[in-house]
Amino acid sequence: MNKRIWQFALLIGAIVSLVVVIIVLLQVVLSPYIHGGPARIVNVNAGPYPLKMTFYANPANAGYALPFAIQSGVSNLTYDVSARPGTNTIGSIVHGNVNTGTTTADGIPGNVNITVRGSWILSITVDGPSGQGVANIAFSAAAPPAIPAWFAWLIGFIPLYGIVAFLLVRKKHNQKKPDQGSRKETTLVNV
Amino acid sequence: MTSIPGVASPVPAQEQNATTLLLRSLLRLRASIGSILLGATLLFTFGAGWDITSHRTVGRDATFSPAHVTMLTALTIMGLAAMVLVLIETRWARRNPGVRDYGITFAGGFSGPLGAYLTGFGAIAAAIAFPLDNYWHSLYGIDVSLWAPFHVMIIMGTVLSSIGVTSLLISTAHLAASQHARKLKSLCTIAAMIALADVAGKLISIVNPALSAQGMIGSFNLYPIMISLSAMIGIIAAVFAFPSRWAATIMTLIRIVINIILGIVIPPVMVWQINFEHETLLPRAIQAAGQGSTRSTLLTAVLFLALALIVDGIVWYARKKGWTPRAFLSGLYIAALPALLVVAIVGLAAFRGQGLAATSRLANLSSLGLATILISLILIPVGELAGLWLGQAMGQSLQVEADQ
Repeated sequence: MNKRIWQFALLIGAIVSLVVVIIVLLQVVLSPYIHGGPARIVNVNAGPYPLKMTFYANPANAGYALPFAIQSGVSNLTYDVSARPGTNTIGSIVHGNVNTGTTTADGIPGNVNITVRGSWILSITVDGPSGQGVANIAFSAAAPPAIPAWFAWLIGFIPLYGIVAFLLVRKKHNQKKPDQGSRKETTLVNV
Repeated sequence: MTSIPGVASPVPAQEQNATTLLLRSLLRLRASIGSILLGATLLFTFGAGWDITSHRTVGRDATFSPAHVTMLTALTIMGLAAMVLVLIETRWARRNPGVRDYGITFAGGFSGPLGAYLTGFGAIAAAIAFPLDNYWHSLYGIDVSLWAPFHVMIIMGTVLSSIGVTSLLISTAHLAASQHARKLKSLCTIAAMIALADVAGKLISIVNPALSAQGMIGSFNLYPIMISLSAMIGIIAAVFAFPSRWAATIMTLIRIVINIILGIVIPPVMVWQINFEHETLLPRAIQAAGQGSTRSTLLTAVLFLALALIVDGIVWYARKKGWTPRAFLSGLYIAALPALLVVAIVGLAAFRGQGLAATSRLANLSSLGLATILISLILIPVGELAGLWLGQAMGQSLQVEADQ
C-alpha cells in the first residue's frame, strides 16, 4: 500500500513537472510573437538612415527573445540585427531575425534571443540606396532571482537519486530471492 | 537458457499455443520499442556532443539551437516510446493477466518492463532540466561548466534512460532465448551492449571538467578518483550483465567506435550550423583551433581498451581456475589498479589550470606540482572500489531484471 502511494506520488509529480516544462518551453518559443505594447522607443541614425526602434520589453528578459520593431522613412532597406554582450556580461554574439515580409504599426518586426542578464548592445546594420549604416543601442537584460546553489544541486541530483534507488531496490530484491546464493556463484565465475 | 515463469508448467496444448503467441507478440513489441529507444539514446549522445562543441565554438546563443532541438527530439522520442510500451502492455495485461508476469506493476494499474519505466523517468528528468538550465544560463552566462546543477541533471537523466534501455534490451534478449529466436536474441544482446557503452561514455564524459581549475579542491585534484570510479562502473557492469567472455572489451570497443563516429560527424555539422545560423566564433575557439587533443583522446581510448582486456583476462582466468566470487573481485581489483593509475596520470597530463595555455604534457603535470599529483593518485583505490561495487550492482540488477 505504502509502495503504491509512493508510485502514485512519483507518477503525479512527473506528469505535473512535464506539464510545467511544456508551458515554459512554449513561452520561450512564443516569446518573439506574443508581447505587450511598446516598452521603450529609441530614435537613432544608422549612417544616413534615421530609425525608430520600438522594444517590447525593457529590460529584456534573459533566456527569452527580445521582440522589437524597426521603422524608417526610407524604403527598400535591408536590416541585419545582432546583439553583443556588453562589458562584464558573459555571453556570445547573437544573430537576430528581422521579418521584412511583414509590417506592423510600429514597423518591421524582429527579435533577438537574449541569453544572459546584464548589459547588451543591439547592433543594426542597414543597407540601402545611400550605402551601409550601423546603429548601436545599449539595453539591459534581467533574469529571475537566483536560487541558492545548494538548492539547485539538490534538484540537479534528482536522476542520481533515481539511479541509487534503482540499484538499492534491485539489490534488496535479489537478496530476497531464495535461489540468489547459487545464482551469484554462477554469475561471478561463469561470466 | 533462462526459465520464464508460466512457460515451464504443463498446460493444455491450446493454452500453450496462446501463451506462445502472446510471448511472440510481447517479444516483437519489446524488440521494436527497444530499437527505437536505442536510436533515440544515440541521437541524444550525438546532440550532446554537438552541443558541447557548439558551446566551445560559438557559445550559447539560443534556447532552441539545432543541437538543443536534437537533444529535445531524442528525449521526446524516448519518453513517448517508453510510454507507448507501458500503455500497450497494460492493455494486454488487462485482457490476459499472464502478461503481468513479464513486467512490473506500477501505480496500481500500469504494467510494463522495468526498463521502460527507467527510460521514461530519465527522459522526463532530463526534459525538466532543460528550462532550468536555460534559467541557470540566463543568470551565469555561457561559461557555465558541464558541472552545473542542471547540466548534471540532464546527463544523469539520460544515464538513467540508457540504463533503462539496456535493461529492456537484455530482458528482451532473454525472452527471445526462451522463444528460441536466436537471431533476435543476438541482435538484442548487441543492442544492449551499445546502450551500456553509451552509459559508460556518459559517465566518463562527465569527469572531464576535473581536468580544469574546477577539479581542484585545495591541493587535491578530483580527476583520478572520478575517472577510476566511472571507468570501473561501465566495465564491471558489462562483465556482470553479459554472458560473453569478452563483454568488457566489446563494450569498450563499441564506446570507442561511437566516439570516432562523433568525432567524424560533428565538425562538418558544426560548420553547417555556423553558416546556417550566421554565428560568430568565440575568440577562445579561434585560439584553441591549433591545439588539437586528438592524440590525448586516442591514448586514453587505448588505455581504456587495455583496462577492459585486463578485466576480461581476469574473468577468463577466474572461470578456468574456478575462483570464488570474493577471489574474483579481489583479482579484478588488484589487476585493474595499475591500468587506472596510468589512465589517471595520462589524464592529469592534459590538465589546464585557470589561465594556463596548453603546453607540453610534462609542463601541464609540473603545473600541478608533485604533491598534488601524489595526493590525487592516492585516492584511486577508493574510486576503484566504489566503481567495482556500483558496476557489480548495476550489472547484476540488469541481469536479474531479465530473469523476472
